[in-house]
Amino acid sequence: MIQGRLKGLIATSAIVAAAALPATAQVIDLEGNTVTIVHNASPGGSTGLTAQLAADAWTQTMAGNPTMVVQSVEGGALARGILQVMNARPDGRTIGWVAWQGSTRILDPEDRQIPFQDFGLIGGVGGMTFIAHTSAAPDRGMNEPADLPNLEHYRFGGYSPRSGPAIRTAVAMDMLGVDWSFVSGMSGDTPLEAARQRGEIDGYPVTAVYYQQTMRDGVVADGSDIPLFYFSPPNEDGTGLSVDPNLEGILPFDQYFTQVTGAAPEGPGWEMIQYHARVTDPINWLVVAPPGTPEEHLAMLRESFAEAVQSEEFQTRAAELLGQVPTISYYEDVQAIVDEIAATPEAMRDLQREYIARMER
Amino acid sequence: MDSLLAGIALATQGTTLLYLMLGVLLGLWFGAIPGLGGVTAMILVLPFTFGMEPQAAFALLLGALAVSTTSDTISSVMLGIPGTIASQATVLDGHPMAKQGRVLTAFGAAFTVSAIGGVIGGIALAISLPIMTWLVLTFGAPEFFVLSLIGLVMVGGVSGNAIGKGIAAGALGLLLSQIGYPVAASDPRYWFDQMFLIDGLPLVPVVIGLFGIPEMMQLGTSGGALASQRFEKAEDDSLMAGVRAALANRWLAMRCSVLGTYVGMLPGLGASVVDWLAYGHGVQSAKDRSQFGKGDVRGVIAPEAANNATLGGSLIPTLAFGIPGSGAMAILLGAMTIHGLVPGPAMLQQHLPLTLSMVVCIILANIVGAGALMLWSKQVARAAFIDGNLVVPAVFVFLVMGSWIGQPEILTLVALLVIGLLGFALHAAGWPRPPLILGFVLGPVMENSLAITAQAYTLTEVLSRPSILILIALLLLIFIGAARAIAKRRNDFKIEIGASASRGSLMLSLALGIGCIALFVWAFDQAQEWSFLSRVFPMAICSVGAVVALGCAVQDFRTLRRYQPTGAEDTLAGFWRHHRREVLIFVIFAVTIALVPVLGLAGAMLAFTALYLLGWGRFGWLTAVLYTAGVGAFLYVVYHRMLHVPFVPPFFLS
Repeated sequence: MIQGRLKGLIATSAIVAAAALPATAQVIDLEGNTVTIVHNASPGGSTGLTAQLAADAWTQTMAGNPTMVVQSVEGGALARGILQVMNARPDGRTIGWVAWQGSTRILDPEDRQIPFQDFGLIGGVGGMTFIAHTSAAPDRGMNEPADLPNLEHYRFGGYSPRSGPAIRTAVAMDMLGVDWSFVSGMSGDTPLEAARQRGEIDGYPVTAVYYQQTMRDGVVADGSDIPLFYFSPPNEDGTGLSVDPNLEGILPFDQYFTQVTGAAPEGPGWEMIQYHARVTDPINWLVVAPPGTPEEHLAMLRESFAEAVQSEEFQTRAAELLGQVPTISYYEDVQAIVDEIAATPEAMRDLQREYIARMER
Repeated sequence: MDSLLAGIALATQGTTLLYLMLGVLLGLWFGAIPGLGGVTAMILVLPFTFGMEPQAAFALLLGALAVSTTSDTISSVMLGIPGTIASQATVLDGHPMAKQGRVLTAFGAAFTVSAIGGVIGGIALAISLPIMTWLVLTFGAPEFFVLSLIGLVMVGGVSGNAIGKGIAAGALGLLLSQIGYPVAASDPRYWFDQMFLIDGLPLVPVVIGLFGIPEMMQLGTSGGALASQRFEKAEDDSLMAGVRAALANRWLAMRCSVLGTYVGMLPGLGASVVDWLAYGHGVQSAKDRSQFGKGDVRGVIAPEAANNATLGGSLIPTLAFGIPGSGAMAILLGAMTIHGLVPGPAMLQQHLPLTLSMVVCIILANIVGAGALMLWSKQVARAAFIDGNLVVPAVFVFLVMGSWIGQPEILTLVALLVIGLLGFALHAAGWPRPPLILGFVLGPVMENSLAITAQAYTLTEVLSRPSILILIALLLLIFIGAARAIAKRRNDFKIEIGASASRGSLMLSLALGIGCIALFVWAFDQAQEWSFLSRVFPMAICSVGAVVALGCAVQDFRTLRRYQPTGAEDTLAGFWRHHRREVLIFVIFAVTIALVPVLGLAGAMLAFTALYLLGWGRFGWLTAVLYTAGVGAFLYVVYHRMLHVPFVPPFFLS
């Protein structure tokens, strides 16, 4: 009896020790296990749904073909889900699919910052292009995009002053010499569009997907809204913003600026727009493993992730969901972005803080 | 008409109907368990809908959502704990009815008006389809602010004869809602450098803690069953008596259904507020208010008619504009996106039969859900007569898991306990608890709409909006009506049956008043350094709260000075003796939560269940083992396997 108990105790201790120690086996055996993809937005939104699509594809490519479930850990200005992954055990059972806002998160006080470079980086999904636009207002002389610099005041909306598109819109307006004000507290394209149609705001930085799905053939086609310019990732030689072939008839900000002012954009404002083009626009969702995940397991995750997101099934379903095939970033690109954000010069941080202070009331 | 027939055909074809019924079953189940609800059911089934036909997917999702606000009545009536956020007000009269052995009457009335409300909500949605865009565009931030103010005036309706304490409790709820990020700035408020508080207190632990923990403390010490009288013996208690009561109050049910539909339409308000608004309306429109809070069936009819109607209303902005007014609508919107459906005019032009099939699904689900619950009512009602100590462990586990599921961290459980203790203190001191909840849910909506109004409008622009003028007139009418009722002492009823006034309860009330003053003064002081829009709302709350709390404290102090004890036990020591066993149960709850990091979440829950049954309930080993095994199986199957809730492991596995 006692011998039996002793055997049980030894067996239990062995299991406990195995679970408690960092995995020495490099690729963790996940066969028959469940891997949880933690995302940091509300259930049902594009973040969670895209994570679900990725989980469906990834379960087929990941070593051991584990069951994959998606869990929402929202809140804390997106930090709660990120911290859950940060604090998870590096046992291969947890993966983060996080909307990260790295470029503005570095503006937080020291104790609220998140060391993204400590994560086991896997990849990134979903580059974003934002279009600045405004309601047509013939009584205020706003009939076409080129009329913007003559506009007396531009009131634009967003959820929080601490968002990359909102800061860039403010910078762009300053560069164009347009007086502006910011209305916070409106989250998402559709509530913002309703606010615009109610006249509470003139415009807002809208995602290209919503623009193409809803606005282009609706309010833009009927002339009640005018697209101005867009913010996109850098062009190939890094001298300006890239041209989005899906947004025919609209110019990237640098080309628009040159067209209406006759000069090329320059100065700290333009540098900030380029900075966000490099570090904010290419990745919407960062895919990470908890710090301490064994290197060989990470290599397996990177490889299987790449295979999963390149699969026809994922690309087709993601295109249906997002309105376009999402851009995928792989480990090296993601590492470069995380490194650049971590090394953001103090002058760039201060300039962003200055704009946030002007947007806050 | 062709589209309507096509919509009916879509909703009633074999597969769709099957999924609808499956959704209804799931919704009934999840709605009945405190802390779960229809949204959790939707999250659970959402991944399965990706590969379905759109009409089947929406039938499953809407079926699960529509009836959760019907079955949540079970928990509200039987346990005094809101089954979902939408049935908070049902507790006020539904639970006293259960204690009087009138469970079936409460169920009969609630399920009847739930069906009526659901059908009216669906019809209102169908009628509103052509004017949906206009409706959404009419209500801007200023209108939301005035509507929230109207909601706040309902504090009078849910405070009974303790108006001052009700206002102070409402201010406390508003202040609690100010924790976390403000609308127009990026520095969190009142968050004590705790990430847990950076977005504010989570709603579920606040709602179920305020009512659920005190109720379990009381049930565990009562030594008997939930109901003091067997329902077979209660006079005229039957489902039909409830149905008759519902029909006799049909106009109240109709008015509250319409109210529910249109409040549901407003993003951010919805089900969490509408039951209080409906309850307040039920009180204000009644001639005889003396039985409210003591088991008046109208106190069940009003909120239950309204909360089932909100779904139809909340679909209006979702379908018209893609504006999700609630978490549930955000999930539905996600499902629409997955199926390639774009909300807006296209839903009416290209997908009208599908849109109408959603309306039909809501109506069918509500009728089927109410019918099924009617059939099961007698079996469910028998639970009111089992030993209370058999109920406490399972319900405590539900309360803990219901809080945990939304925000899985130990501080969530601490918040549940702290709010529970506050709820107990308020109840024992004769302070109404509903205004606190009303303030808590209205606070963010009010501040958000105020901040947007301040940023986007001038005062002249606000006051020149016809809709604002109409709403202000409505606000004044309701305010004057409430003030007149108070002046004529028509509100001379207790909103909750608490302990009768004693020296101890008065002293506790005085302490609460002084505590509130100190809190409001501190919070006011903290706010002074913040930016204008960050500080204006909390400072206004604190100013009003401190003045009203001071008035309450002065009144309690005067009453205490003149107080004549009613007996030898009417002392502070007697008050403590009366409540000490309840406090002891709270200590057991607190120790259980403290053991979560040590034993793990599941371990702590199972240990609590077994030890409570053996040590406190004095049940035998067999009962304790079987019961604990049942709880363990439920935790494993539902929370772990189905909902993938992250359980804290025991310390030796961390």
